[in-house]
Amino acid sequence: MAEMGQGQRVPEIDLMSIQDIEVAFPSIVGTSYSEESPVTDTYNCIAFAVGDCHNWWWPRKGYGIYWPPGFPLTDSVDVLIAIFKVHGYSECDNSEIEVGFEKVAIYSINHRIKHAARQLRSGRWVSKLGDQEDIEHEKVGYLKNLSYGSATHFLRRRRTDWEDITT
Amino acid sequence: MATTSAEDCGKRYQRWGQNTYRKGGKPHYEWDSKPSTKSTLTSSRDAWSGRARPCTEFQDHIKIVDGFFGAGYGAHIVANCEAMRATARDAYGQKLFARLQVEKLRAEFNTLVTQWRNETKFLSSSDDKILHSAYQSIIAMGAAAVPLVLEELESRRGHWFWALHFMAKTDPVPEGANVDQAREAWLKWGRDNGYLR
Repeated sequence: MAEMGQGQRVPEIDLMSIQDIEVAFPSIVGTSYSEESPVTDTYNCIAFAVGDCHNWWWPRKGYGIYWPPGFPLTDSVDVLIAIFKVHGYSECDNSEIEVGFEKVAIYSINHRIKHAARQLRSGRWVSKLGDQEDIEHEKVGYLKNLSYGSATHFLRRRRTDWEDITT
Repeated sequence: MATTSAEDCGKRYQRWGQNTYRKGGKPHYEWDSKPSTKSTLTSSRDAWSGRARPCTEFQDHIKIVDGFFGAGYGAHIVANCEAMRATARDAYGQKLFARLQVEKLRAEFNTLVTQWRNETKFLSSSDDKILHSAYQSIIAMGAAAVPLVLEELESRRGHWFWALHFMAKTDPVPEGANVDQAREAWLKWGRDNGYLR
């Protein structure tokens, strides 16, 4: 293993997390992935994909949950697409890296939102896993499972450096 | 109707912190007749009819109460003493019963929490988390399990706000609160209502 400089984070996940993640997401076994945040239930994958690390986004009112005002309180993929469009995204066909664009992927089952992931400049993806940690993974397909379904919708926008929109 | 023995009354007063009515480890006023069921104010002079007179010190106390709150108030306290004790007993009994209920539910609660956390920790869908069978079973435990949910929220966090709303039949979470603010609101509610220390 290459020597890491001082302050660089060793991209490792503790053994319990590895076991849990690989049981939950069988396709990720044997691929390169890393933990990118501590475990937190403050925000979820949709908030993280949009760029908000202070709220848990879900189409519910109250109970500590956030949903952008003016959008229907339904977990239809169409509603989430409309929200991403407000943030400058437009629909595209695939998850491949495109120079000058950043992408998000929506995972769904029966057209109902289950997960969202965001593409990094490197072409790899980051996902907030429920109330657990964020992970960086190579392909959107590696998080396909019975709970998330599969990545069914993709959107892109002109890339600017990603920033936390709440700060 | 329950009778009030001097011993019982003395202990109650001691429990209420008025142990000046004990001398040599025994209650030093006599009071073993049937308690009055009168709730109206009567003269303190009539307060002992049908019952043994209390000791001089206790009578002095009644006079002080009369002087402070008005004539007859001391007698009112005597007349309602049994009711006050019954209320205290009920309150103590209810707390004890609630605590026993909590302990009875704890093992089952812990099993359900472990199952819920294991099976929903990677889910972002609040609906899927809330509709999980273990979460619904915890809601079905009702008000008796509210202290357990609050303890869990305090020690290990988690999205318990939906469950608490239905179990406690209230919602202290302010509109527009995020997860951290909702958690704080519930923990404060738990402390204010004696569920958490």
